[in-house]
Amino acid sequence: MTNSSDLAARPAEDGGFAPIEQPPQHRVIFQPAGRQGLIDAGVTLLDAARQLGVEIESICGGRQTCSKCQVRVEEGFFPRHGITSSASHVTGEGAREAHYRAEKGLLPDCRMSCDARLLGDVLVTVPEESRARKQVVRKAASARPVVLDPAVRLCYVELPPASLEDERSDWARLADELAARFGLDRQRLHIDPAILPSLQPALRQGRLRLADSGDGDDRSLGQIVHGVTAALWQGREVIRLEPGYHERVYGVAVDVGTTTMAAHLVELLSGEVLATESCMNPQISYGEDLLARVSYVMEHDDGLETLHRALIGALNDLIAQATAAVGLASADVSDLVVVGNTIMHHIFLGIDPRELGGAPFAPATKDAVDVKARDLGLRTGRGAYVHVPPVEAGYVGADNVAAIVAETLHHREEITLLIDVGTNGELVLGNRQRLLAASSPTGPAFEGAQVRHGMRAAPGAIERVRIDPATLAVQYRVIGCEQWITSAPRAGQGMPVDEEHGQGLSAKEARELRQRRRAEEQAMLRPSGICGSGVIEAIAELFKAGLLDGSGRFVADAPTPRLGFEGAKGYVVLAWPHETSTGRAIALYADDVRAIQLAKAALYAGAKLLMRHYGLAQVDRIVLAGAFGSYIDPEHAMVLGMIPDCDLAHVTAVGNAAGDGALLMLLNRDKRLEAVELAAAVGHIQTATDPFFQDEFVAALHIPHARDPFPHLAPVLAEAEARRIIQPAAASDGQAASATQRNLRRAERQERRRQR
Amino acid sequence: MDTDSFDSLPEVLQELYINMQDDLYDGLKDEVADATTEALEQWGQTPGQILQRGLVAGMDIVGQDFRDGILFVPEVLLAAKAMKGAMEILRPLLTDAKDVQRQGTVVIGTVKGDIHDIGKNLVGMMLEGAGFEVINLGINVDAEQFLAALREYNADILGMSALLTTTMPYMRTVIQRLNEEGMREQTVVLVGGAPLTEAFAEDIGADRYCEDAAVAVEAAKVFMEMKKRDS
Repeated sequence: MTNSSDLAARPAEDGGFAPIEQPPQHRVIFQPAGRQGLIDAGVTLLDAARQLGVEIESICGGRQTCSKCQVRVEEGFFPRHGITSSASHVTGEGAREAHYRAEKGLLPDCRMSCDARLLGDVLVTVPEESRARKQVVRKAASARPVVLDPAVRLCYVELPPASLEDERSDWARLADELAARFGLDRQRLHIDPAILPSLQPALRQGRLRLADSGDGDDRSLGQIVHGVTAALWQGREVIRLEPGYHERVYGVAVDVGTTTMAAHLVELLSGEVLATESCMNPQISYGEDLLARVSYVMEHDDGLETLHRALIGALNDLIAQATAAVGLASADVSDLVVVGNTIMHHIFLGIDPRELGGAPFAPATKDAVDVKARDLGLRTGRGAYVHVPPVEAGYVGADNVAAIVAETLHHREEITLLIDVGTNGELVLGNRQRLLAASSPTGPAFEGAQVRHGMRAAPGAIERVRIDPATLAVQYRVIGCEQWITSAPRAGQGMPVDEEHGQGLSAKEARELRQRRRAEEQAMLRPSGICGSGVIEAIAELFKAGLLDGSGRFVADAPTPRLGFEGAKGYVVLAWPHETSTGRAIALYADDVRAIQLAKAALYAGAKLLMRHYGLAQVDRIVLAGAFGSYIDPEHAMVLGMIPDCDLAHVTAVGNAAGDGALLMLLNRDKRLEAVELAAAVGHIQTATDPFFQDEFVAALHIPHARDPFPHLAPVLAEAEARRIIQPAAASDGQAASATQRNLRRAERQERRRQR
Repeated sequence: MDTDSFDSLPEVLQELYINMQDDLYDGLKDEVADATTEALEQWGQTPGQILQRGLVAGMDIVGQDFRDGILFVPEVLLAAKAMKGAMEILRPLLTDAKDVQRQGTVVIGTVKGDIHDIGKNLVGMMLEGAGFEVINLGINVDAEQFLAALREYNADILGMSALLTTTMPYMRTVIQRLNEEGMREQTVVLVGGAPLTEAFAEDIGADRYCEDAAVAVEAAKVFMEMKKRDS
């Protein structure tokens, strides 16, 4: 922001008796900032604000063109400030402002601050709309307030036509005007050479005849000028030029996940999210998980090229879709922030990720990177930059930094455990004083892989499961269908109407009810598998109902027809064949439980290691992030022993925190600096080589845990224990099962041995 | 377990061994140690007999139930720890006992670039439970370290583990080095780890892919029998 008062300090050159004394000064108070001071008469309110350090939005730099700088001059005597303010204490509306008000309208009682010059004392209110760095609350999964201060801002300038007297180049004339109007450092100001070709056409097309020289300078009616809007990156590089006046500039924030990628299209000056698009990461065809991608690069000469192109291609498609959805084009995008795990980060930037494929997992760089989008093959605005935040470690990437920025762990006093649940779990623990991060190799079980009837979280997947502990009846919910479905063992027989709704229905009413039911049934989506959140809930519910013991074994003689055995391995039917779209039952198998036990133990052990290094026995709050994290029910996750004990009221799911963090960095460049500081400050714990990892991992295999107490789950766990027919042996050292339990187990085992 | 000789034991001693096996199964370290001492001192059993009749037989059941999905990693580790406790009593006596027939010697490790430990440790403990001498080289082990250990301990079996698709190709490098050094013939190569497949094991020239610790133990036993028959 400029402090220049060039407009005000114009000396009176026309008379022969230039006054020596200072011009008179007037008191100016700005609300709600509360800034005040004495300002020379004749200065515009916009410049007065700049002199007093009050930030008012302006794109046109004081040409009564953008109307962003509107303020209200209060009327009357204000005893608290001891000031008498009046609309007549500033100059009246100039022709351009009057024209604008007539054509497009201004806020009631407001003036363009660039047109109102000081004549007397004033109390000025800056409405929210006019504040630079205004705070907006985005409407997303979790509404996060953000101060608008994007890396790209728009500056409108009007240049007189080139003349024989003025030998400066068009760029120099533009740069000089930008520097003067917007208080920029002329020395640092430069233009992206790639957009130079658009400079003169933009000036030519922006040619206009001034209606009036409303701002009182020496241009007169009918003068020809060239109006052009420059998009300025980080206050120093012109990255886009458009003829005429523009006040919208677009950016895209992208989270590149191993499995899915999501892009938000945003208008940067308003913070408005215009469109959100997501798609599968096309690299899946070259390997399901991260390491398979690295393997692909290692095994194919053109592997990196292939994966990079696939990613960029998908990103171009996403951006094209998002822009097209609101009548824009990819080329309208002027700024991007892209986050992802370290391997996605490398491939996105075209860096060979093979060093991340094995210990010591060294990234090529951990620093934040600003690179031209066009250099990566992105078809966005010619001069647009991509900002890629820093990474923390080989498996703690820019997505993690973005998630911390979004969740503001580093601003809080309470200790937060942030868990980004995915194929590779990323964990952060700490508060404003100290943050520690780790990754945990959970594997793909949480995403429905390694589960016999598992599937991705797509329509038709069972995502929620409830088991009545008393009757062992099963209810589930399917993605794409709002209502709960009660699983029932027999097909088609249609429960008698009056059984459910009592006697007294007329034949007509009963018929209507049946018809309504049938319609409902047809609309109902039948399940075809079970996704990660469904598996987690199913296991936790089975445990609560006493059908599964703490070691992860099905309880053999539980009284339900849903329980079956294949040899020694049990399974539980969740949906009977007639309920599914495949005609096969959907069941949860012993091996599925084992796979989830391994995954959840990795996550829990990672969290415990962080707590151990931090010196904590308890965390204040837990935040579940990641597309998958949002669908996990906190209580079920805790019963399963996926997350440490915590007050359930302080366990929240926040959705795609990494994507939200990318969005924040797009809207506020200070957040980018914050991310850089964070990445350097966050301590990293290497879980796999930690001496306590094996012990913590093995203890965490138990449901919920072999030795850690869960005081916040006490009633639930007590009930589960009471319902269990055979108590499991405690799996920790020194906690031997009671003698009776052991005898029971021994008898069971000897019976098996005889059968062999 | 030699069933004939077991059946000919006094009933009380048989019961002692069965209880020892059960306690081992339940991971009751102190009870297993007590039974070991009792068998030694009150029944005059040799360390080799106790190892075979009590501990190895007990771990055999643990291995089977692990394979069948009845037991899981924590229970197996507890049993292995209990066995280790008993071995601490027996080991000083075993060295000079003539009746001990070690199954064989195994060198195991997680290959270079990979730092995953737990699965490989489980295999090591199960092999020890089955009576093998196990040299565990830890994680991030390169070919020369494997070769040196195989030579130093005159080992019969090499067990390699990898948990990452990016590190498992290194197993091929190790096998190539075995070939170059003329050690491949006398060394049985077993490989395992989550991303491996049977086809991969065959492709790199390993003798056997072991999908879990129980399979690894069985495979090791089978190969040792073949080896003994051949010689």
